[in-house]
Parts: sequence; structure tokens; C-alpha cells
Amino acid sequence: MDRTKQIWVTSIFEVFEKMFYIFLEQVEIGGHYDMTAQISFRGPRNGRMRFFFPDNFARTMAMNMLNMEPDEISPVIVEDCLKESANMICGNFLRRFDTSQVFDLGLPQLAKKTGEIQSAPDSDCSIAAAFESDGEGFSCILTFQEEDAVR
Amino acid sequence: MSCNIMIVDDSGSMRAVIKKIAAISGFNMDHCYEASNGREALEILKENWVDVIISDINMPEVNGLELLRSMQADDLYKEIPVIIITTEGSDERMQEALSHGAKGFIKKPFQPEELRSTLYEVLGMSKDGAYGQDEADMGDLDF
Repeated sequence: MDRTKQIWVTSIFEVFEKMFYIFLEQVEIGGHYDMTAQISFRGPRNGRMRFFFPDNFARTMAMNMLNMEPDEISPVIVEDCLKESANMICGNFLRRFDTSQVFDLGLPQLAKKTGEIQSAPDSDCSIAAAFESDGEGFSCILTFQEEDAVR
Repeated sequence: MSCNIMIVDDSGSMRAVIKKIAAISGFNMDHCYEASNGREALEILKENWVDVIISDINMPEVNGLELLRSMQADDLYKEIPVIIITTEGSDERMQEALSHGAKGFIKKPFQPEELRSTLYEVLGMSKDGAYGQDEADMGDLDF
């Protein structure tokens, strides 16, 4: 799973640097979240990615992506940016994972759900990572269906 | 020469980003139409002249590949250049898009320069924003 996690983390770095102008560093998993974006994929491997964003970080993403001022950012814009981030990370990861295979991405979904993300060890079916920039950050989990687990 | 652009993406944020890049890329952009899927794009094409389309693949209702297929089947639309901007970057998906008439393929995430240079290439413009030699020469002709 180490290779998979490395590819996934690289995809997350690239999407945040190119589209959100945010330079992340990887940190310990944990922290508060206010919104969850998720996207599923089907193909030689099936699974889904979930992203847990706190409000402030989500608003920063939207402002950076669209070059907007804080008072121009609406909840609808923030939600759309989060869904698009999930879409881009998933697509970027899958083409790095295996460019010769075709994966079908689901449509990204967003839920407003507050909670605390708990640390959990990586397994054959699931890996987690967390990132931070300027004291704000988010966590994410990549899950493969059990029969598709990468060993 | 001004041109009409259509951006097809189910993400309003991504449409806004693409529109901003196109606007600052030196084009004399007349109209920028926006559609959130292929069905809306085809509706816009019925009523409006569009010089170039920038489209995502993964969209609800009618996706980008279905839009390309519909355009290829229509004599009026098949010559309109389409640039695909998508997260789906497998070799097979890219070949599928190109075989259905896409003239350019950009993978998300992308740098503004990638979109700018692909737009210039597809529209036959040089990097300084001038149109191709054939068109430039027409200015010297006496009619």
C-alpha cells in the first residue's frame, strides 16, 4: 500500500498547488471538519475517496481557485470547489495509479457534516492522510472495495 | 477577429476559472457561453455560432464524449474544434476523445499556460495572439 499512498499524496499535492495555490505539508491525522466531499470510482479497482474539510480551509480553497475576495464567496461556490477538488484528485490519482486502464469516476458529492476525524492505521483496504497549510488543514481517506485491496 | 467560446463543465467554479484564463489570454472574445452538460451545450449550438468548445468529460445527463459523438454526426457542428479538459487521463479515454473529433486534450489540474497554448494552437494563432499566416496574409489583398 506504500506505493498507492505515495501516488495519492503526490496527486493531492499537485491539485492543491496547481488549482488552489496552496502548498501543503503532510501532518498527523485528526482534527475538526464541517464538510465532507466524496467521489467513487469503478474499474480494475473499485473504491471511493472522502475528504473532510473545516469551513475556513474550504473558504480559502474557493478564494484561491477563483481569485475572489472573502465577501464574494458564497456557500454554493465553496461546495462546488470542494466537489471539484475531489474530482481532480481522484482522476489525477487513478491516471498515476494505472494510465493504461480505464476507470469510471462517479459524480462528486458533498455533505455538510460536522465531526472529528479519528486516526486509524492504514490497511490493505484503506489509507488515510492529513495535510496542513498555514495552520489550517484537512484529512482524507481512500478506500478500496475489499476484493480489490492493493497488497 | 473575435471569437465565441463555449465552456461545458458541471462545475461552475471550473467554468469560471476557464473563462478567466480565456479572457486574459489575449483573445478578442465576443461571447462566452456556458453549459453544465452536453445536452445544454447542444441546445446553445442550435441558436448560436461558436468558434471553439472547451468541455469536460464526466458530466451528468450528456457527458463530454457523447457531446463529441453528437457533434461528429452533424454536418453543422463537426468542424467546431473541441478541447477536452478532464480529470480522466487514461490513454484509452484520451484516444477515444481524439477519435471522436477532439482537437486538444488537457488533464486537470492544469496550468493556465497549458490552456492558453492549446487554445492558440486549435484556433491557429501564434503565441503573440496573431492569427495564422494564411489569415494574416488576407489583410494584404485588395478586394
